[in-house]
Amino acid sequence: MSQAAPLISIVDDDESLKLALVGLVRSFGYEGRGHASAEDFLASGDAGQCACLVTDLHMPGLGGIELLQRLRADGNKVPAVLITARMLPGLEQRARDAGARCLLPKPFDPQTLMRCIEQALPPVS
Amino acid sequence: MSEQPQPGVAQWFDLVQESIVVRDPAGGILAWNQASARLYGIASEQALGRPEAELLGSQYPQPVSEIDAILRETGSWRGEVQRRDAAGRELHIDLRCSLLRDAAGAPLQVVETARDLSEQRRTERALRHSEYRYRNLFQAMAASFWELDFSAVGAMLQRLRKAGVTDLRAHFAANPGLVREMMRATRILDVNEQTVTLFGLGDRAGLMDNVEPFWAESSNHTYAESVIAAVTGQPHYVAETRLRRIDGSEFDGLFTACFAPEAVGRGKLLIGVIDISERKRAYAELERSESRYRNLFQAMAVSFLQLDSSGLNKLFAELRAQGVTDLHPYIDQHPEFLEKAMEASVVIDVNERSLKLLGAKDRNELLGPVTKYWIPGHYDAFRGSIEAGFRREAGFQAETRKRTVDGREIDVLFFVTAPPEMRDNGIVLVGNIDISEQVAARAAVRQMQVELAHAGRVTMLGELTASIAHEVNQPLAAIATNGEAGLRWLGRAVPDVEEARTLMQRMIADARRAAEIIARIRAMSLRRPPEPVPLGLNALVQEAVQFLQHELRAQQAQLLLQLAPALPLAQGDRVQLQQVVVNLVVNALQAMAQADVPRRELQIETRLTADREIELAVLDSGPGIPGEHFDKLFESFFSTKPNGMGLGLPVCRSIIEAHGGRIAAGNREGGGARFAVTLPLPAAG
Repeated sequence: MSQAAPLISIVDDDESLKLALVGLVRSFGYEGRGHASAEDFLASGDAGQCACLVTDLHMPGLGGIELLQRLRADGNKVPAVLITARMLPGLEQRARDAGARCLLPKPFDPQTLMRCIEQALPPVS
Repeated sequence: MSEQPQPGVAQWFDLVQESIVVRDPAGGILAWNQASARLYGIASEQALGRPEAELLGSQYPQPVSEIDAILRETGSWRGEVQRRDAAGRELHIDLRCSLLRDAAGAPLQVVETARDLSEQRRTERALRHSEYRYRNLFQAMAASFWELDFSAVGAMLQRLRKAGVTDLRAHFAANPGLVREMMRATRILDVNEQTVTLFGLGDRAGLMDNVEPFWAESSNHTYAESVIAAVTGQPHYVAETRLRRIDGSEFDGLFTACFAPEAVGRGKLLIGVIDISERKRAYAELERSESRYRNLFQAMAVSFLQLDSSGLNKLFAELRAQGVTDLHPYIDQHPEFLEKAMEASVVIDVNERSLKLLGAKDRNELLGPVTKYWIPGHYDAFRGSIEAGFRREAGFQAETRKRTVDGREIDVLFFVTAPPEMRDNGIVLVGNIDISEQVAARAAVRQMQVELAHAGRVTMLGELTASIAHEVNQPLAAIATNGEAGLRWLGRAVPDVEEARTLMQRMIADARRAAEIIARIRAMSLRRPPEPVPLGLNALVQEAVQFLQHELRAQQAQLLLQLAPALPLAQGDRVQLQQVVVNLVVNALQAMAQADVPRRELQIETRLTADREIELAVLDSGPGIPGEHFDKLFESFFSTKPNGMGLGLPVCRSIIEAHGGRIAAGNREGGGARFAVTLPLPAAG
């Protein structure tokens, strides 16, 4: 019985990057679904199903770290990768504290991003 | 060895109108005609045989031995000799001596003819004396001033009133002794140098008591009238009257009393006296000195020249006689008139400050025609000044460049003061204020503004760097991601070309987006002259907003665009105007962020005003602009932001002004600031 491909959720307010990221994970054989904002993602119900969350840090409304804090507060332990265009001092610490696996500055190397995602996924049995 | 002239000759001798004396070489008188007797008042009998020098007390212009030597050598001598007549009066004699020799050539007789120069010399001396007086008068300020204390007179008048005197004029006329008493009660507080000369004959000490000695007995009436004028509230009193010098000699004076209310209240009075014989000139001189004083006083730190413009007045009169009513078109046709007018405007006095400003060591260097101060090609201010003078305007001023006598060129504020009555007297006052430094500073400011405009753009770029980095990084990240995914699809056992094609199309779009951002940044940081093109302000606003999208989102500001449809095109430099919009929006966002207002609303409006100008306004919902900041808002380096450079708004203003427009700051009724840019519509055609 072929298992369904793990779902990778992408949250980014930049339309073109969101599409690119969805395309990237799909080309690696995962299922990808994009959301334009943290609020959209939370409303979609994907939070309980996705194997990994890739989210931008700076977005109108809820930011990436706030989103992660809210998921953790709800007991959701989904592994998360943060991406950001603004690398501010102290940001890495805050990302780690919020429970993120990786924090990648844009523009990132897509292979590095994929390594982060694959390391975050539960081992394939 | 003497020999009498022949009788026939003696007759002839006596008929001659000129004095003829014949003497021997040692001086003994041999012959003496009637004219000599008349000249010297000495009869022939008393003169003959006497030594001439002793008889006439002769004083020669050179030693007698020298005169003798000249006589022997040349046969004649002429010179002016002082002699005395029988009454002891001094005579000035034009004396000609001729030597007669004997057959052997030895001196025999000296014939002297004398012409009386005494009258001529007396006239000359009198002339010299009056000239001396004239010059003295001319040099001094011709008005005598007295500061007087008449408070005691006031008390006397009060007593008279209490005693029931109602007709002061009649009372004074009936009591000349009272008038003299009032004069004695009028104390002298101070006098000027001219008073010392005119009344005190050089002695100031005798002038410091009361005025009574200086009023002739015949002038009681004038004094009484001046008192009546004072108590009846007249502003001044003027009369011609007989006055007295300290030595008792009398003269006619023009007496002027000024009753300035504030001075009268303190019991003080200022009196002016002008020697009436010199009245006309003295009057002009008084006016001259007064106006000169007044103007000098106002312009102490200013280079100040007094011109004699009587030559210019003459030129003006000639032109008016020719029917010229407006000098401007006349000069257009006769540009050479300007230099003629300069030659006719002669500096006759300068103040200390002028030496420094005009580079002279000595005031004499500055006197003479004004031509030397004007630089050919920079005649506009001079022209303006004489055109104003021709119109009989009292003043003129202009900024101009002038030449100093040590050859420098300076920028000055040049001003001319010549009230018509002064100009008629040939007096024009010229002031120069050195503005070289201001002009240099202005040039520097202009230069700085160019630098600042650039610095402002760069600074703004700095402020926007984070946004820009983000803007550029998004498409870059997307390109790399799409590229990686594309490789994956192509690397499969069965390459998925369709997926790869889609990704490549996205990559191209993203790359284009990045390139556009880069182009915008480059355009903004470039220092280049503005390129005015017809442009739609609405499109410009939309581009700027796109540029700021991230900033708006980051600040969680709501943007409302109210763009007038069918707005006419403006004329302007796209990048510069975009910069203005971006700057105003960034300012508004920062103001709202700084004040931490809960509701951040940004509104951009465009419209065509009733005056057919294009207006662009940026409105925010921040705290607005405090009243005390309005004046400084557009000044460089004024900033309300903790780290602000204060360059944004000044740069905006210089850009808008360069476009012939205005920028204004205001507050909205419901709170928040409103910055409005107004641009003119390009001229039709």
